[in-house]
Amino acid sequence: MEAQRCPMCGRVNPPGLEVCQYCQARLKPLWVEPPQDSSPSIEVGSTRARTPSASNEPLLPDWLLESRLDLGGESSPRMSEQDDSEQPLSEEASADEERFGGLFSDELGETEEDVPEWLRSLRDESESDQGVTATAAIEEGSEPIPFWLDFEEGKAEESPSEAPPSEKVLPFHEMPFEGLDLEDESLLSEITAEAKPISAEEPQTVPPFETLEPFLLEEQPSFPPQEQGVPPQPSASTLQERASLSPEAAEDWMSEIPSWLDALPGQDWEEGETAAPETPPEFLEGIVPPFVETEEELSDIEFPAWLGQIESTLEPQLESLMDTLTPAETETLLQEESLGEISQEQPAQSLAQEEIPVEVVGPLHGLRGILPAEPLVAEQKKPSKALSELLVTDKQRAQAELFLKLIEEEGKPKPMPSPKRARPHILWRMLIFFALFAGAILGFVQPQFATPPQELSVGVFDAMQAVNQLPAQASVLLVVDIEGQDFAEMQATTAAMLDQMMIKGAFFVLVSANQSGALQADRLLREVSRLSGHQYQPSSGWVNLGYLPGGVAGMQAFSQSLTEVLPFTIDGEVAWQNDRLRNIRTLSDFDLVVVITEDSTRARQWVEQLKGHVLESRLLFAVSAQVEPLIRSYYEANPRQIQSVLAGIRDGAIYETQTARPGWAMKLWGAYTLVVLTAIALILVGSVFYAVLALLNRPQAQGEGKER
Amino acid sequence: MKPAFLRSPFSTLITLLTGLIVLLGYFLDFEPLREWRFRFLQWAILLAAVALFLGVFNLLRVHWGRLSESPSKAVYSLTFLGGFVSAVLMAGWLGIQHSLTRAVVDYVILPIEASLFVIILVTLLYALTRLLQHRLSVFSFVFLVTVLLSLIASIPLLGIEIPLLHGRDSLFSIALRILGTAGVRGLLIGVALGSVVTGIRVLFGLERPHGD
Repeated sequence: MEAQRCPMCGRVNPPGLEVCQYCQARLKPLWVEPPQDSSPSIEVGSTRARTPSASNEPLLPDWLLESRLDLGGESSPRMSEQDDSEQPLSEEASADEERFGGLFSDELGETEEDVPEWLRSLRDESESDQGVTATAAIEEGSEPIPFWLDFEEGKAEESPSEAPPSEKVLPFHEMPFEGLDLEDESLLSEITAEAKPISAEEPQTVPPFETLEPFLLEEQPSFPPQEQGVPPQPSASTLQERASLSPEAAEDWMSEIPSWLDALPGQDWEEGETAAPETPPEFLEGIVPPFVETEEELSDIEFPAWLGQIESTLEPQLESLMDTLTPAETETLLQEESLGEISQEQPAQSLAQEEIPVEVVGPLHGLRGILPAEPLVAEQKKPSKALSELLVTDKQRAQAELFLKLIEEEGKPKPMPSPKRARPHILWRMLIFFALFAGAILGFVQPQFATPPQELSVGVFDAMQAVNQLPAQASVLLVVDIEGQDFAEMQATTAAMLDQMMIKGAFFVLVSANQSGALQADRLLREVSRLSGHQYQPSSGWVNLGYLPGGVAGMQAFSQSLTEVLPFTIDGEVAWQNDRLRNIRTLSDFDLVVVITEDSTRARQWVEQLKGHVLESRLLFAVSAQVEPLIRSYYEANPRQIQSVLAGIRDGAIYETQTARPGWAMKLWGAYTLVVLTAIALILVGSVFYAVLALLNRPQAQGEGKER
Repeated sequence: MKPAFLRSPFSTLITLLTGLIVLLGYFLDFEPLREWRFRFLQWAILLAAVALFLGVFNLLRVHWGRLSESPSKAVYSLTFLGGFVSAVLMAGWLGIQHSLTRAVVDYVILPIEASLFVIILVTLLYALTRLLQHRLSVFSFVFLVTVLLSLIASIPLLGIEIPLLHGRDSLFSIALRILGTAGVRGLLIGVALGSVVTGIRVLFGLERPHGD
């Protein structure tokens, strides 16, 4: 066998192949046109007899195929009756019906009753119009009839005996150019005159999808017409070409099966029937025949010179290369080539897919290709100017401006005003200190500058009576709640009273609700004993119970049962086993209870907690001068809640004066008097000086205030 | 928001019961009630003593931490820790009646506290002299005159007796007793009412001095 040359790429393929190994084009046509002499052309109105094969059935859905088979049994007798008269038409119609499953058939089951009235009226009108107006116009020859109006007449004139007039309208039976005398020059000139403007205007035609939305156009590649089996619409040039054909050729063109339909399976021709030879159009004549069957025909073709050169250079190389390839390599190359084509198509498709807008709002969120109706619906309208303007009066506008001004001023940083601090007058403070210090030293060294107090106060008198009524070897409870800073004052206040008690041989029980009170109490008795010339010692002269914790609760518990609350001394010894304390079980067993404190709160708490546990006649308070106003309210109450109050150095000095035993209070009295006098003098001088200074600086200060 | 007694009902119940028992034991002469009241007060004293110890240890911990913070603070903290350790060792080892222990009190604690008091005295006098410079008003003047009269009445002016100021029956002494006693009694009544209200609120769980 001879080598085959591909009609598409022109390369030589080995003999026996049906498909080009380079471009995958079919080397052999599906059917070979028989010679003109042996196979007459198919006349218009006749059809190729085809066997009603089941190979057409895959085109139809199951339900349609079943209905067709059911109806086929009824229609077959009628078909046989009409064989003589309507054979060409019936055969072609049956073929079409088989092809389309009877979709366009009006014979099966269609009666006059099934036809709706509107369709029946339309048919009557068309029949009357066609029978009267068209024929009359042609016969009169007054006006040229358009070719599309002359279809029925020509058909009737040309084949009146072959096909009786029928009401059926078959899309593939009635050809649009059937009946036309295409050899008539006037008609041809008319057709060409109508076709030329079309061809002339073809470059200027508006693309059919130009007015559509871009995203609709992007959908087109995904549904090519070839895949849906829809034949491409003939272009204007094709129509012109077909119109220029001879009547026979036109009949062949009308009766031929389209290529897209020819590719369907089951297109088998019967023996003896061949398709009409394919005649290339005029503009392709002499260039390249669509199919070349033999080498002789190929040699008759005149290729361009440049194509011949390329062929002469590439063909040996390709042949040598193909000879070296094994069949497996050839198959691999074909697969890679097909994959490459797919991979080249995928980016384009993905790119087109990305360009499709995606809905981002609403219930269709995330879907692609949604009609963009939202911009039109949600079109924002500019509010009217009248509504946006406020009616503001001048007063309101002024207030708004003032408010804005205030806000702006608040936002501005302001320098922090330096705090007006009084300049420290160190010299004045030093003068105060040295004046007080000098007065204290001078009063202590020269006590004669101070006159001793002579008047006996009520508190001192009551205290002296309570002490004088103490029995010998009396037991006295001393509650000492004093701090170190007030020790000197409290010592001066109580020294004369303690001296009198020591003279009577009293035994002291010391307790303190202050952390340092126990040590202060111990020191107090030591100093009084030392200054007064007594030989009081711990254990023999007093018992120190130490610190009483718990504040008010401790005072309450101590008042309720002192032996259980504080059973030990500060030295760790058993307190209540002392011979002088064997009879002491409660507070009322003490001959006298003396509270020594400089704290007003503590003094009040002791008064409140000792009430009810100690007789008022046995309760004395020796307090600082600052506590006197508070404790005096208990003392001057009616009845008295306490027996007596000794307040400050003054009462201590009076006590010493009354007992004629000058002690620590009288030593401090001179210093105290001079210090107080110095303080009075300093207050007077300083107050007058600074008051005058303030009066002099007042205008200046007022001016600064106005500036601020 | 829940009431206070519902946030921690257990502690509120304890507070309520103990408070009622102590209060009833104060008014009612009933021996079991008095006994329970005394037990509760003893527990309070014990807890207060433990709290004092905790306070001392917390003070030590704070100053111990300051030793590693900065040298300037470490000096004071080191002084405190040294004094604390020496005082505890001295009182614990030698006893509170030892002369050395008493010397610490007589020559260290008392002079320091007295010096602080003198500083307060000088500062108060200095502020009082400049009172009219900063606040030249009638009330400042009244306050200043009252202070001066109180000081003058507290001492004899070099043997001179001023009739209206000195003496038990003087006008100033009477005014001081009446006005002073009246003012203090008013304060005491206010303190008493506040104490009662606070006690009732604590008993009913409306006040929680022991915390949430």
